[in-house]
Amino acid sequence: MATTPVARLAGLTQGYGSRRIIKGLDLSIQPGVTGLLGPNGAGKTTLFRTLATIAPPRDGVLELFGKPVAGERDVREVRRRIGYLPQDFGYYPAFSVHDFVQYCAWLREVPSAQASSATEAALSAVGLADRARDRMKSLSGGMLRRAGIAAAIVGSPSLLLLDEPTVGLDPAQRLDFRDLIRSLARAGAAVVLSTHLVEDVGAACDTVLVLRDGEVVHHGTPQQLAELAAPTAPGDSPLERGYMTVLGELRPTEESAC
Amino acid sequence: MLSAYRIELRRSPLLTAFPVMIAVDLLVLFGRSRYWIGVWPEASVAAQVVTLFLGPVLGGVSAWQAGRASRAGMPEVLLAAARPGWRVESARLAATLTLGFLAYGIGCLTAAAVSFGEAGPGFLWPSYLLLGASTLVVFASVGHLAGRWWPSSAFTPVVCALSCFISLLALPFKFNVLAGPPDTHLRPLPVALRLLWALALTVLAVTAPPRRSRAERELPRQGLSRRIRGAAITAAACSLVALAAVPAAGELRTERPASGTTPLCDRAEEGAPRVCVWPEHRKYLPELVLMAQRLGRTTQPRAEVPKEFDEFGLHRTQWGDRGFDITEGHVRTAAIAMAHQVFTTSFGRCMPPQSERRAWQAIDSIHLWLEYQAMGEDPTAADQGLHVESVSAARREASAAARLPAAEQQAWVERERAEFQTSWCKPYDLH
Repeated sequence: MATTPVARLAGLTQGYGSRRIIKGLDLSIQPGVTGLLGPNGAGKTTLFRTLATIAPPRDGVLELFGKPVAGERDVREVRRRIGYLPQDFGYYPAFSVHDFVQYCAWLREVPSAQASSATEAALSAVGLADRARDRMKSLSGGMLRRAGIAAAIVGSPSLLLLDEPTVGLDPAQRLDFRDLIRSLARAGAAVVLSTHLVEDVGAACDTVLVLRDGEVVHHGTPQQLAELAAPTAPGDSPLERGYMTVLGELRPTEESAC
Repeated sequence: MLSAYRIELRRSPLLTAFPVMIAVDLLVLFGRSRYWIGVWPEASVAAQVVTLFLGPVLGGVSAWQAGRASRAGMPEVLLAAARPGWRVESARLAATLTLGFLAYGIGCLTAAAVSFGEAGPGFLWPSYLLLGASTLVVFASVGHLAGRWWPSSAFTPVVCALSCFISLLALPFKFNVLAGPPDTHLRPLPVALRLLWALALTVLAVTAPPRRSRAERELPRQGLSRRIRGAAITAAACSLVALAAVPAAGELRTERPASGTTPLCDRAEEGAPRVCVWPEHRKYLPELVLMAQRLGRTTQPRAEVPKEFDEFGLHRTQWGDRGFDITEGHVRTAAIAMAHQVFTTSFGRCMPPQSERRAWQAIDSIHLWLEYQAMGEDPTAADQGLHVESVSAARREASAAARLPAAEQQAWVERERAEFQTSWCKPYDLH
């Protein structure tokens, strides 16, 4: 039985000024974990901003949770269900970790009666419950990233957009992170994450999307991507070689992800 | 809203600086003067004067707070928020204003607490407190707007605080009043306009679109809703209209009509002159009654002492007001007015030719002598803090006379009186 996609883009065009970054993109995002790969400038961050409803499409259709996002009310409605961790996520240094996550819960209009328990649940999920009272400025890079993830997942959003969420995490934290997003997906959320680390995609994602110059050049399972690997393609794993193959890049120095 | 408001409150730099703010608040309140204690309108003004310091501080802190999101790299998270931007800004500005008002409120309550004993019935006058509140809101809102548009951590707050302070002195209208004698009160229109201006600036501060860099402007973005855009435009228009209307509305203070109040009157004994004051000047009445009594007892037989001395403003006529005033808590100024009233009632209004220096000196001497009688203390003590250099010769004469035995004083007054002709004096009656 076909499920309603969490996000559907039809002929979507997006860009900055006169420059078009995404050109006529057609895409469906289903519940589960979707990995987003692509070289720098491929349009991953622009796609995230579009899905987060920060930037309305220049052209085409954006549907979220089965409904087109058109008016102000629609935008507000869908934003309550979207958790977003930008690539360069900011934070208030003087806030405690708890206050920061609770503030983000407030921004997403998590009902006030649930905000406190949702904050504690999010902090536990990223392993920061014991640092809840610490100031944000006292956290290490990895902890900050985890606080950012907690801010994005607070209130259990239906669509979670994570732009480079594993930057700064050590291997053990990355394993925990993979468990976390798998559990969120099992709970029914759609998780879209972009990463430089192809092995994260292989380990955690049900679907992988490869973007190049604003167009989707691959949309399938990580296994399907690995199967596309050309024998001569650079990379240490079949997934990396598959990624390089679909990009049509055979130079080993080329950046392997967004 | 409450959740974010509480967080903003807890994390506000004003909270750390709060004890210092209170200390400076109380320093301004009690360091400037103390005569306001026990006089409700003066106590209200004293509490309100604190906003001259608090306003610029709030302006600077508000600018710092408002720019914090940009400096912390939060705009993208805020842009993706379901919560409308104006509510995010409102929570922040409300936290700043709360702490500002808390400091202001503590000053007001302190002024009220120390006044209760002496002042009698009544309380702080809301009009003065509202005027101070409008100053705080205006400066905090301007600071917030500036901080959102120029989110520097040091430059904008410092410039903002300084600009607020300079504007207190340089603008063609006043944000505050420095004295609140009971014979005056604030005109409702200028206060209402300042409050309207403050409200409009607050709405503008939270609804105005944030200033975007050139790179940000290229990024397509959900526009402001029509409602919020409308509110911002209306608030901007109202701010400009109010800014033009405030100076056009004229002076903040005006004469307070005596008809709306029952004066407090008293006399020391049967036959002594009665003294009437505004009810807010209750604390001065016992001393004034004694002054009137002393004047009644010691004037020479030819002198006429009025049956009643009224405070300035209680008996205004189209020709003027002979009432005494109490300037900054000094009853010495009341003695001057009372002495003048006794003199003019007794001898009329005397205007010798300018060349008649001795006559002028005699008039001044009698005036001063009457003042010393009223004060009932040694002339040196009575003149403390008073600038009487222009009548130094008369002062010497009067001081010496006041220290003579009573009978010799009467003779001295007679001699001085003889120095000016009765034809130079005209009856002086304002009624």
